[in-house]
Amino acid sequence: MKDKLQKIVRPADLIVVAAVLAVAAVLWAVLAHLTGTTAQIVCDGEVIATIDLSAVKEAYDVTLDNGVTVRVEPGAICFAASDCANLLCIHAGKLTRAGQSAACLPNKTLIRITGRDRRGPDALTG
Amino acid sequence: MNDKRRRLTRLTVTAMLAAAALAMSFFERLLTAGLPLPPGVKPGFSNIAVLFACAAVGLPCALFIVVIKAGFAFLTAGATAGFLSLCGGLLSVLTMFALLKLKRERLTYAGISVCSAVAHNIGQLGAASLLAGSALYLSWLPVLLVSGAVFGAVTGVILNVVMPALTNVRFLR
Repeated sequence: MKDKLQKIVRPADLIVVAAVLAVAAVLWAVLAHLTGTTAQIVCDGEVIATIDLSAVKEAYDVTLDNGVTVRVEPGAICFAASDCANLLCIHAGKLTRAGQSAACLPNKTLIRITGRDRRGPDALTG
Repeated sequence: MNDKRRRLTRLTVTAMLAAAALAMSFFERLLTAGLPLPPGVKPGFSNIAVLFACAAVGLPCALFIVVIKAGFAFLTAGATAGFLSLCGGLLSVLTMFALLKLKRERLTYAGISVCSAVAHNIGQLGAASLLAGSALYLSWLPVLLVSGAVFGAVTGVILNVVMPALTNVRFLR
């Protein structure tokens, strides 16, 4: 029985899984730490709009030249409408934290929240 | 004659595995069609065929399957999907090939599958960043790492289970 189990999974496999999950957790924690509220709309690699989301009082829509509509809300930004086939950009949902981004690849459009730390580093080690 | 026959067998097995990979990715799309999975997160069942090809037939066979898969994605989902599939697939095959080449007394197909799934996701993310001309896809990486670890383990364990049966098939040897 133990022999059979050894063929299905071995300790080294579990270590690999644990290592990947640990890296994911660390990345997640680091990204969650960078809270900022400046959003950018990027078209074809060029930043076409920079929006301070903390200054937004009421939600509004921005329709770009390529037909993509981006909704800007207080503290959040998301794709609202697009003519692409898979609509992955809309399914990406609302972006609220620094480092988050969503893209509509068929229309070469990207929205993202840029990382801006509010108060500088929490700690320094020498 | 013998050499010719071996080459013919290899060609047939490669074609069969490529067909199996396509069938599995189609089946996977049916399975996950109704589920609210985040973009880029999928079981990757066709990885079973690719890993088997890499382990039992050879690197060219696995690369061929990856290219066929990318071609299928290109035809059914568009150029972007094809390019993403190709980048992810190539990186994942090279990863599994390197791990198979290393002495692998400790790692089973489960561990190799996890590594190749993670490599696949990193390759796709890199390709997507390249297409969008921006590297700020980093925030998506933790999600893809977790999904690679979970689904890579699932497909790898499946291969571990079916491998004894497959090595009993005479023409695969």
